[in-house]
Amino acid sequence: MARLEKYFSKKLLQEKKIAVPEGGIVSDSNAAVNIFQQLNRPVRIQPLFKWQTEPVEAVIVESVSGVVDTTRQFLELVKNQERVQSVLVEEKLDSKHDLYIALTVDEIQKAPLISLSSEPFLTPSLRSLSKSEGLTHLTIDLTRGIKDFQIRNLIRNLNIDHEVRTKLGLTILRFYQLCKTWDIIQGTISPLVITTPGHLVAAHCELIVDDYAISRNPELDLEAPGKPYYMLSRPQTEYEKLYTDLCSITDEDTDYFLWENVLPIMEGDHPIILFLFGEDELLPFINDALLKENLVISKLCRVRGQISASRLFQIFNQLIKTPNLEGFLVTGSGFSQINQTWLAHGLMKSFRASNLNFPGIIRFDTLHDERALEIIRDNSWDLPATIECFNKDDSLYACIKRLRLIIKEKKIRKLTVYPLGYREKLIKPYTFETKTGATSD
Amino acid sequence: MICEDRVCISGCPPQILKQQDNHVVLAITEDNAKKGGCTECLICEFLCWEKSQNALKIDVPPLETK
Repeated sequence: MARLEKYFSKKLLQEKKIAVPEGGIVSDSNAAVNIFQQLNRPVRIQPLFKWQTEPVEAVIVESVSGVVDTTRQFLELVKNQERVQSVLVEEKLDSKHDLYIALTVDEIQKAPLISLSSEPFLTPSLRSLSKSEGLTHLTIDLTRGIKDFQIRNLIRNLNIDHEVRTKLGLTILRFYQLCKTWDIIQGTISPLVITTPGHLVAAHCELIVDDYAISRNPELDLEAPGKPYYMLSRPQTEYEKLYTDLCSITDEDTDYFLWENVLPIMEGDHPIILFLFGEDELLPFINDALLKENLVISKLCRVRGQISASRLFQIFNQLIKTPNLEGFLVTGSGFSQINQTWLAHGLMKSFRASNLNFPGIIRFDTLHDERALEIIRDNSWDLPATIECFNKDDSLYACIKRLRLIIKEKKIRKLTVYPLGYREKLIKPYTFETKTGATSD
Repeated sequence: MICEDRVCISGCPPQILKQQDNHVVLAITEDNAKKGGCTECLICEFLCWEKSQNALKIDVPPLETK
C-alpha cells in the first residue's frame, strides 16, 4: 500500500469538485504572507513533514506579524531527526458541524463500504468504524454502483438542513467516484466541515492506494513498492530494512518478504507472527480467518522457494523478538519444495535458543512432513509454551481455531531450556564456516 | 567424552563430514563448505542433540539491519 501525500489528496478532491480550504504550501515567510493577504481572513498554519505520521498541531494566526513568526518558527522545526519540508497555510474554517466520511473495503462482502459518522473515526479500518457512534454504512454493489435512494438512506438520520443534505449526498457520490478512479482502498475525509454559510469543505483527507494501483496510475507519481503491503509514506522500520537486507543476500531461487503491521492493536485482539512458506495468494484467506478469531498479524514473513534451516532460524529468531506477542503460526500453502524436516530443525533450534514462552501452531506441507511432525512432537514437550503441529491434511481454519484456543488457555510454564549444543566451555572446537555466515563447532 | 555413534556423519544428506583420527572433520574443503557445500540443514546438530552427546553447536549470526 502507499499513502498519498495529504496536499496531493486535496488536489484530487478539488478535481472532483469537492471543496477544500483555500491556501497553499510555502517554503518561506513571504509566500505565507502573500497567501494571508490574498485570503484576507485568519489562517491555519501547519508544518509538513515527509515521513512523520503524527501531524504537528496547526496554529491559527490572524495578523501579518503572526504569520511571519509562525512560518519561520515552523520552518526551523525538527521532529524525530526530520526537518520540516514546507508549511501549509490555509484558511481557517468557520465550522458549524463536522462530519466524517470513510471508504474501506468490506472484508466480508468483498465490496466497497462507505461510512458516514458525526464522530471521528479512530483509524480508517473496518474494525474501528464499527465501534464509532452515530454511524451509518453503505455497502456498494460494484455491478450497479450507488443509487440515489441509497445515499438518501445513508444521510437520513443526520440533523442538517435540506440544502446541506443535497450537497452532502453529492459530495459522498463524488468521493466514491474519486476512490474508484484512483483505485483507493482506504480513504477518509475527516472532517468534512459544514461551515456557517452552509458550504461543505473537506478539511483533511487521507487516501491509500493498493500496490497494483501504483503502476496502473503513473499520474499519482508514487514510488513503486518492492513488494505488496509495503508502506512507503514513512521511514523504513527495522523490519523493512531487514527485508532489504534479505533481498541483498540473494539466496538462490528464494524470495523473502517481511512485513510489519503499523496499525495499533485493538483491545481484545491477540498479536501473532505469521511465517508462510509458499505463494502469496493464500495470504488474504489466512488473514481473514485469523481476524475472525481476533488474531492480528503483527509481523509476517513469506518465503517462496528454497530456504535453509539456518536462514529459517535467523528469520524466526528475529520475528519472535517482537514485543507483546501472544502466539505464532507457521504454515505452508499446501505443496512445498522445501524439505519440511529442515524447517523443523530450524524451528526447534529457535524454540530452544530463545526459550520460547508463547504458544504456536506449525502446519507442515507435503515433503517429508511425517518426520517433521515427529521432530516437533517428540522434542517440544519440555518447552515453556504449548507448541502443536499438524500437516496439510488438517485444515488451516482448524489450525487457526486451535491457535486461538491455546492462546486463550495461556498455559505457560516457568521452565528454562538450553540451546542445542549448549556447553559452558568448549574444548578444542573444530570450526568451519558456512554460507549464511554460520560457524559449526 | 568419546562419541561412538557419529550420527552427524551418517545423518548428513550431502555427506560432507568424515571421521579422521577419532574426530569428525570436513570431507570437503572449507572453501567448498562456505560456498554451499554445507546445505545448512542443521541435521548434524539436531541429531547430535537428540540422539548423541550434544557436542555439536552451530552458531548462526543474527540478521543485521543496515
